[in-house]
Amino acid sequence: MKSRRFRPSAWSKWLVPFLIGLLLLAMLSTFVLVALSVFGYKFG
Amino acid sequence: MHYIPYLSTIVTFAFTAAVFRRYLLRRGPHLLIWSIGLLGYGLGTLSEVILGLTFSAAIVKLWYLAGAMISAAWLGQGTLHLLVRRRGAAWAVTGILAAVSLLATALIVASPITAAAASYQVSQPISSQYQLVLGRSGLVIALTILLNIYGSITMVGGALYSAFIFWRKRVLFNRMIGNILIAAGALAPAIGGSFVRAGLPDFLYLTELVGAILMYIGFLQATTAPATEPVAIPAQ
Repeated sequence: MKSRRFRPSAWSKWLVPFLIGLLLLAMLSTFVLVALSVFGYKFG
Repeated sequence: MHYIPYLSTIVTFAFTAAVFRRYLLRRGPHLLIWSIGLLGYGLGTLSEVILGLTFSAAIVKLWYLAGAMISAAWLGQGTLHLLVRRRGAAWAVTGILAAVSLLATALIVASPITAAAASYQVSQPISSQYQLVLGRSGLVIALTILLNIYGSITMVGGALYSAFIFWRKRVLFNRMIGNILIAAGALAPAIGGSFVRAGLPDFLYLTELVGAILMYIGFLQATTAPATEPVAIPAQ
């Protein structure tokens, strides 16, 4: 019986957490944009 | 510009059919709830197709209700059902979301179409005209923001959480990649929606298409068993 484990390659060791962090940051940025627009900030 | 919603609608309805087919086979409630969210997403892009051809007050309301208000929250609700082990709690939140969705439907049905509808231009995206055409109360705007924030946190956050768990445990490589794609796909229209609120409405159609494609590929990646695993290591 084998589990579906994988051995991360050199790139996935840092790329996966980097991508997860980047996407989290992007999500938080959308919240900041919405908050600024709610409080009347004018863009452009 | 207007060919993008055609592609988004085709991709989204194909995606909806794939998820619903899997629900019929597996019976997981998260699959049914994702199907509901995707149906809303597809109705939103289909409304954009119709509004690119002609103006209809009912379709403007359908676009706002299905596409802008409730689809993200229902997609996130599916993820909540997948991740929360206490079934009763997940169903209780689903009940609340259903009640809020009914309230949103009633509010949008009652929302007035303004006189600016007479100058509606089919050549321009609805995302750049709805604020003039559809009269929205403060409650509608607040509900829209809250539902979308809830949908983003549960859908994007849930997918990223799953990806991180798979990465940390070094298991299910395809699901790890699939969840990253789903998170990126769910985030794309959220970014487009934020740009609309920030006064940049032209990106919404493109982000909807990118989002549908990425989520569909992510779903296929996460649900298809790999032909060959990257490295099979005996279970410890």
